[in-house]
Amino acid sequence: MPRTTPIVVLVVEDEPFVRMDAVDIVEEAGFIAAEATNADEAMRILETNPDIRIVFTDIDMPGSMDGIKLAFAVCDRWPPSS
Amino acid sequence: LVNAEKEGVHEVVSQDGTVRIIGFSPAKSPPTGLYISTGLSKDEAFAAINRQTYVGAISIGLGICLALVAAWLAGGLIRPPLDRIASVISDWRSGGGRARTGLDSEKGDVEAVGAALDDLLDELARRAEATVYAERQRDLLMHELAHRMKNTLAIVQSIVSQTMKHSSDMDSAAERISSALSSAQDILTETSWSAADVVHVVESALHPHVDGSERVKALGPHAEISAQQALGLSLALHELATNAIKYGALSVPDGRIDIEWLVGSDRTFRFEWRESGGPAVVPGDRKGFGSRLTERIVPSYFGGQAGVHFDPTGLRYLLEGVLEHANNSAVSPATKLTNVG
Repeated sequence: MPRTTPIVVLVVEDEPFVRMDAVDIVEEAGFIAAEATNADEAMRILETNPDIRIVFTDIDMPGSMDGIKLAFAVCDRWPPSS
Repeated sequence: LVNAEKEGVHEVVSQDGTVRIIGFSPAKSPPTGLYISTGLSKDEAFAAINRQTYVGAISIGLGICLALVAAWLAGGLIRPPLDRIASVISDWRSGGGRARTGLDSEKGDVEAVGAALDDLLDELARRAEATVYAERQRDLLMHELAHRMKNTLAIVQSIVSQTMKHSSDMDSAAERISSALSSAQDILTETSWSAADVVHVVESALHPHVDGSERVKALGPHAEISAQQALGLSLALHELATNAIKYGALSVPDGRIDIEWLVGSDRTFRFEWRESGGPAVVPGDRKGFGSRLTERIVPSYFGGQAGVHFDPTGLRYLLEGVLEHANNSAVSPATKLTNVG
């Protein structure tokens, strides 16, 4: 069954300007953007927002996980996300 | 022989076959023509000399033999330490950096050489270690520099693209970009990359806008602030100052600005910009990139919130968040009154 709601993209980036720019790019491409400043916040947002289909993440970020660990964690827990 | 005029010696073979050495001398007084001679058997005459020569030769032979034996014995004592030194050197050359002779310099000259060699190898090992450490430090620094350059360029790129998208006109976009670039440059050239002082950030951000003005007062404690937060704060200050000059307190002669900040013991940060004496401000005067910057991007650097309030006395900007980098004891007890300009 085709999706009727727009796809939600979670942007994970600690640098505010870069994140804002990435959000703009995502929105201009026709998606809905959600924002997180680090991987831990991204996990919290993913847990409460099942609509997120794409995670777009920075790699080098402060916090308990970097972007690569976040990507593995997302693949493990939310298989449909890519 | 008979006619010899002088005395002399001569070797002759006698009738009995004996080799004799004879001495002769012609008579000096008459009857002349006579000569006196006496002979001695050559074997008998040389026997003593030959014996002496024989004994001498044997003595020399024995001496040589003794010397050789002595040299062999002494060599036996010297060789092991020399062998050890030679093998340590060849081990070391083939990469066995830990090889040492282990000789005791008290035990002799050769051992002293071995001990000196050990000391030299220890020193070389120390230097090699120091070189490796220095190289690793340099690589780390190069890596850190490249990382920061890359980050700063990414930030600048985002600032430029954000500014171009959301600014109303090219002039203000160009102004913001150049301010962002100089802030970014400050971050790169700052002697300490990791942190700056809030006082320093406020002073240098306002300097180009309110140079020599007594109308802008900044009051707040010294506190360490991360380079990223310094960038955010100076961009906010640039934005606020530009607007104050265009539409706010600095657009009229009597207007003034009071800047005040507080840093809590838990590094909470409260920063306020208060304009007064300016023209009445109307909400909605400033939309677009300016409010996006001051109310969304900058507070994000501080993990907090910020808002522009249109008080009856004038515009007020309040930023609340937390200062990063609590590695130094940060807040100085004395509050510094800074007269910007």
